[in-house]
Amino acid sequence: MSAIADTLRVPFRRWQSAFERWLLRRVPVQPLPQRVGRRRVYIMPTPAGYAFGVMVFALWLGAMNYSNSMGFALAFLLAGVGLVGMHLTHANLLGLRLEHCDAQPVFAGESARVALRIAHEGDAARPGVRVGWPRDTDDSEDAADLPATGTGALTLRLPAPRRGRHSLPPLSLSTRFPLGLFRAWTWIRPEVALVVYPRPLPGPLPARAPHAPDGQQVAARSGRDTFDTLRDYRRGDALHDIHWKRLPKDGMPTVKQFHDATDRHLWPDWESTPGDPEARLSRLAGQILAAEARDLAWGLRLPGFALAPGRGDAHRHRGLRALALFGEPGSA
Amino acid sequence: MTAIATPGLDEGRLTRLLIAVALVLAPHALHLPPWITASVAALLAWRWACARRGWSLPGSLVRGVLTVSAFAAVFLTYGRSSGQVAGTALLCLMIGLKLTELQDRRGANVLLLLLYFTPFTHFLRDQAIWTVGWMLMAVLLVTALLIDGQRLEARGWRDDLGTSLRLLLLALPVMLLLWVLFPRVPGPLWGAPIDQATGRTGMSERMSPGDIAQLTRSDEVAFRVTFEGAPPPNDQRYWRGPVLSFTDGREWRLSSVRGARRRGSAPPDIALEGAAVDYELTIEPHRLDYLFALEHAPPRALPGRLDLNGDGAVVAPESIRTRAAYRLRAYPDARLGTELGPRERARALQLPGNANPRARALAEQWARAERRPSAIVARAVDWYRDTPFTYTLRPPALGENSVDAFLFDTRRGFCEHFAGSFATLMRAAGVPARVVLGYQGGAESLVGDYFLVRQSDAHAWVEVWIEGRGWMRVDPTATVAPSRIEQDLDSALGLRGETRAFHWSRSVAVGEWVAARWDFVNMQWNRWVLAYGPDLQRALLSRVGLGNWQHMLIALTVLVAVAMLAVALLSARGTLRMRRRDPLAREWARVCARLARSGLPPHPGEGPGDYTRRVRPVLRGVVQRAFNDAADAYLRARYMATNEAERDALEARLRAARQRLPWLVPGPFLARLMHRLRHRPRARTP
Repeated sequence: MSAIADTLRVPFRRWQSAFERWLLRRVPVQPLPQRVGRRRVYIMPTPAGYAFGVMVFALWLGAMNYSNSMGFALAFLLAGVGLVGMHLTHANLLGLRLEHCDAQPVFAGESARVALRIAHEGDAARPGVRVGWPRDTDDSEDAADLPATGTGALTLRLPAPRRGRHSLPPLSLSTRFPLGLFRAWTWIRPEVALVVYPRPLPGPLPARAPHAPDGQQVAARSGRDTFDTLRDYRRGDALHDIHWKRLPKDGMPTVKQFHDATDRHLWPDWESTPGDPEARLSRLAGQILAAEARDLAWGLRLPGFALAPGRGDAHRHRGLRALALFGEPGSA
Repeated sequence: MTAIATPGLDEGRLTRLLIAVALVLAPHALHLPPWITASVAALLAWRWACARRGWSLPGSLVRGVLTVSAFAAVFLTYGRSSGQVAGTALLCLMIGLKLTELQDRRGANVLLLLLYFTPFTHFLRDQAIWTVGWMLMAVLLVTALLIDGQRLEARGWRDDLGTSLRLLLLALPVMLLLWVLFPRVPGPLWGAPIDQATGRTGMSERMSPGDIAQLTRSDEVAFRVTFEGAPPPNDQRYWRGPVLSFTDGREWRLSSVRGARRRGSAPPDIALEGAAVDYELTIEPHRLDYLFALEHAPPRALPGRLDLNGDGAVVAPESIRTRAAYRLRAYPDARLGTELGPRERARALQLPGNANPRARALAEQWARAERRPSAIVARAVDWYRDTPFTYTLRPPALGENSVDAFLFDTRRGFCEHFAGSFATLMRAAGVPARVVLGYQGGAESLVGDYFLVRQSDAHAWVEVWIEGRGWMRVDPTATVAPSRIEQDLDSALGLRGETRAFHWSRSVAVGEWVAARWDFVNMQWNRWVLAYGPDLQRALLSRVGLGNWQHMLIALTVLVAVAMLAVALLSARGTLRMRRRDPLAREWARVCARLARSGLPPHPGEGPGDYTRRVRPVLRGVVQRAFNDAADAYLRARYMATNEAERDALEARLRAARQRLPWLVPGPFLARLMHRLRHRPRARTP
């Protein structure tokens, strides 16, 4: 039974996805708040709605077969209930306003939490208002019963696999209230971007660098003036920092750590980090987190971008944001 | 599906669901066997106790066993598990069993859809007026439960019922439109429906002593009649049913073969004479196909699929299972069967060889004395009048030769005794004769202009065939108990101090009054609602020009669309209207809307001050002054007014200024154009 249902469902699902993509191409990006008007509310029966339709049809056939007047009355009453229910479902969505939509930055590979606030001015309560993503994005969903002239706070999860600034996928605002026989929905593309930081690779503390007041590019060896200490090798350490002579003695690699005599700040630096660009960004993110974890002040150097040393949440976000947006046009 | 993944079914919701199930299923108890009612009630109680006491629900094994035993029990009770009656029983049991596995809202929704369907199974048995109320209640409850299921947090029962009631009130006009206008198709589409008349009292196609007396104990309505003109007098109202031509000496039947029916024989020739009587007959379902039309119906003026059988009775193509109304015509003075073929004659003279010797002797004595058949008939009628017969519902039992015993010994009998013995005597005397069953009389309702013919009006009479006259009705009961024919059964019995069993509606004046009114309401219900089928629909709707189904569908579509538009406007009323609490802001929004219409909308995020400064220079003349006033009043009211009175005054100024703004404010280009047009002629005149 279920196998048959599944094989029937697959093309149906595919068709639904195609239809949805076609619709989504028509949804413009707009600033918030956005009000749900009549124009872009779609409505379709739910599976329960299709079952209800089949049942009403069967009732009608039965009433016709048995020439049963009350059977007709029941079939037509239910047809009326279905039609009116459809309009009420539609009306339950009209006039809702997406007032606020905010996504805190996350690291790649995590899930972003998108906080939404929906409000309306209608006299009647709006129960069962749901939000969700398009079919092929994520199945995260949240719902709320909005009181009359009230607001509701909802949260959606959004997986963030890649670094960068991503505009949010379209949000669906939907409802099945009152009968669950129809689902009315609308698409909103809020003008909100989600910033995804590079996935941090745990790495060594960044090297200290000499102070470079005019922001000019310092020499490749800068920040490596004074020998500081020896420590165990960690992934990501540069090959030339390994204390090769001690390798046979210890049996495991040891790394020479230097620090800048003049500048006490740490400088995560694009140039001194190995790997392909994405790996470098990940290492830099790891270094920033490591520095922050030790509450040390740090500055950041990227090609065409420098962040003066500092510390604290705002500073960290500024740095990570620069990493996230690295390579994007107009990001600096 | 994070927040909505496990929509549970808490105890409150479950209790409401169980109450709804009980209320929706309750009327089925009227016609389902008691064990099914008891089982469903037990399942309901069990499920409730499970929720209340925290018992675990039965496992799949127990449920499987219960399901199989339910099927088996239904099969044992009805001999089948499909069909209407067994299907209804099974549906009720399955709803009960569904409860035992009910755990979440999804399951509840399946159950609710089943509950929506259930009233129909009751309508197949009973469509009385009260079922409308019950149906509305059932739909109201189930809808309220569906609504409750869509809320995330349950609200009060009353809230859900309120929403449900509002929905239902909006749905009722749609239902009425569909009910009246949706083209009806004559059924059935598949297998014939069950015989609704099983167990009903009604006429049968045979007559033995005691049958009709048994029937007349019932006050059930057989049919109702509305005459178009003056109703014919009581003793003219003979409603013709089965015609019995064969007798075995005791019982009268259609033909010698028990249960055989004469079908397809040509209707008798009828010579229409005298005035016609037009009437409408609403027949109740009964076991047979007879319509009990007033004597005599013309052969080629019958409505619909009605037909005249070989004996001159109006019949439907199949037995009458649903109440239906027919417009008919009768010619009380028509002559039936002016010719009698030899086979017909032989049928009408058949008598068993040696039964009832004394009756035969009497009849042969008459036949010797009189030559003409009509004289024999007249002599027999005289004999009945002169013999001291007693008309009674409780005649003594008769022996082997029942006609002899009745005519010469007991002489106490009911109409079947009189008709049977009279026909026997006529046949013995060589006069073709037969017994006709049907109804006689009928009482005018106390309310409304119609006649009620009840089972207690069941009657049997005799037809004799006279050369040149055809089949002639002779009613021996009329000679013995004239008041039976001229009035009714109760007055005929009352003359002899006999009454039928006590019944409140017959015996108490108030009861009679109430019963009459109730019957009137039922009559209207039956006539307009239950009998509303393809014929009545076409007849009624053709009066407003919707005689065919295409027109009906067009009208239906338009009207339903209008109704839906009204529903859409009603439901969206509170949502799309500009619903600012602040009248000041609303006025200002209107001012801005007017300018926006002319191509000068405020930029997003632009405050009223900036907007005014930007737009003012573009405007000209009256428009500029009005807009200035409006902006000034608005800004003052917003930022400078210190008390309520001041704000109100400014608001009035704002409104006045807004009203001075033209509907369409000319934009910069248009304004310049108008300015130029206005000033050019002036420049030329000097």
